[in-house]
Amino acid sequence: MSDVVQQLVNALSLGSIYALVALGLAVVFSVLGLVNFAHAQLITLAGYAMWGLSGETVWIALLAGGVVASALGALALERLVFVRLRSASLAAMLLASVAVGIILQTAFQILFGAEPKRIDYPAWTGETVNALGVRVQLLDLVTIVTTGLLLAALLLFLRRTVMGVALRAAAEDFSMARLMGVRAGAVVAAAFAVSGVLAGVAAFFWFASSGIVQPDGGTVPLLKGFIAVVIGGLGSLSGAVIAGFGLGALETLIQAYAPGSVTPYTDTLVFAVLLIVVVLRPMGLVASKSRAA
Amino acid sequence: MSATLRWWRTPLAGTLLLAGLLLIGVLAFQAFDPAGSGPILTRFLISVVVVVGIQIFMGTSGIISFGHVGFMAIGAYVVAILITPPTIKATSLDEAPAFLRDVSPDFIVALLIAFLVTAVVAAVVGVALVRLTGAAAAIATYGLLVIVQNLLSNSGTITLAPQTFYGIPALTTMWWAFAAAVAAILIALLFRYSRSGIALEAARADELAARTSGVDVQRARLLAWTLSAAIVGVGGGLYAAFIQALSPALFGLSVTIVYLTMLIFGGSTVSGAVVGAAGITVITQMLDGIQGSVDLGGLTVEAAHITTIVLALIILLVMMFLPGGLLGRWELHEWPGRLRLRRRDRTEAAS
Repeated sequence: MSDVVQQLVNALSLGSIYALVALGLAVVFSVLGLVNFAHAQLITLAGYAMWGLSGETVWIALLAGGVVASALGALALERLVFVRLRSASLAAMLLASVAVGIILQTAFQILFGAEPKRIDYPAWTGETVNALGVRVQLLDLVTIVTTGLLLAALLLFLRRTVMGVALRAAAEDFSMARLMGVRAGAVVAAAFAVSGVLAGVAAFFWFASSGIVQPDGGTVPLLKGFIAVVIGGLGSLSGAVIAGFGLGALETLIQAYAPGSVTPYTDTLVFAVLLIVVVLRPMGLVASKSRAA
Repeated sequence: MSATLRWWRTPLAGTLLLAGLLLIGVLAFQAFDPAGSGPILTRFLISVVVVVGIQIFMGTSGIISFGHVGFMAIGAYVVAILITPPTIKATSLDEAPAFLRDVSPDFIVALLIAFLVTAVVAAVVGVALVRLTGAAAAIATYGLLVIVQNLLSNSGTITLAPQTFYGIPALTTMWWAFAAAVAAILIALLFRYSRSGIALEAARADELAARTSGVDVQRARLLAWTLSAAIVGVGGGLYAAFIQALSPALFGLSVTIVYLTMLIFGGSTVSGAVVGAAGITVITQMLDGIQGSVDLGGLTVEAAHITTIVLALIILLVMMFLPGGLLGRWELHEWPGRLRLRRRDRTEAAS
């Protein structure tokens, strides 16, 4: 019983991170149709910002530092690169984001070196607590709660604020939203800002498990975010979140219960699931109505 | 009617033109640098095979694939396992099935087997992948690359991973690579003018219209995907017998980006693939001339990093200012006819 609860916490915690990354990708995709490969480097950027803040004792400040870095990074990417590709094809934008990602990753290598840097996480991230008679990682609980609060806040933003509604309108039909008076530049900037914030929070919890950041530190979470975004249906925000949690659960299941000879193949199994979903449901499991139509 | 019966004349003419240009380039470079040109030219011609292979799918369908280097890896390991002398395999592959250890086919047979194996693998995964276009295709093919690396890294009994696969004889001479490059160009051009090639061209312009007109887009895509993967697999085989030592890490995203840069830089046609491979090879060779590291105001930048950043900048700038690449949508041999048409249009407009 306690084992099951523990794995459930693990699954939710890992799923939280994947959901944050996937949602960050989906927000930008739903507005611009851009699959942002440079999202990985936003996560890494947040990691290096937190490394730069080493010695900071208030963990919220550490988190905030990472979030500010990746949000500013996302806005800078939009202003410097993607604004010039607004009318370009999907493929052109995608390849441009790959190129930007490579440039950033190489820049990290030049600036900070290839060897990993240790982020000064507060001591509690390594502690365990007794909750309902089960020993769980405190970090996992904080990950789940923070993600829950962030998703709730984002929901409020999308439903209750003018900018949030404009963002959703642009996600449905960008040109129609513009005809209705939505300012394109502001909406795109908002999408990138939200995406950057989500990348920063994801980075805080992702790097906490190892405590280190390196130039390609964001690649693995990006890969998982991609899988979740495709399984959830490209452009569907709720689909990205659900698929992110599903992916976390699947990986935890494989790691915990599959025989030891299978665990090295976790990535293969996960992608096999992706391919099966793609064959059975080409629009994703939670396809948004507008895109399925 | 006779024009349709002899449809293969145009691709043949195009192949002769490109092969001639390649030959002139190779001979010119050899005359320019008789001692050092061999390995550079061989590597370049292998790149031509790989990039022309990728072009068959990406260039004609307009769908991005990050997965083709996975097929290159499969082809490379197939050829490596086949052509490594049994005496070496007796120790290096001591846990592999006996027939793999004892087999020792000719190089050309090994390359054909690599062609077939990659074709079969591509056909199987292609059934799922050709349903995707745009962003989903890019992500899923990226996933394919990760899977191939993951599987190769965990198949130590035949790939020796995490150790390096060693003892591959150096069978890929420059003329082997040249012959393979010309063959790849011929196949790619034949495909471009075939029924399936034209079907993909139509689907690329307007998929819905093509489907409504009775074009079986997915069948054409699957054919292109399989053929393209198989040629990239042969490129991998040539590569294995060129560098003589393999590890799964050689076939990752960074190599993928180099090949995609070549295709994007040149344009999405077969000629574009050749021209792009040549252009990027020249640029990387020039950058490799930078030795060690460069000091930029106290910041030491390694030469390898400069090459990486320049290649990425090329992608970025081409995407921003030259989305069609250097050659755009037309093959080199199509240019004279195109110019003639344009002149006729102008004279008609004037009169």
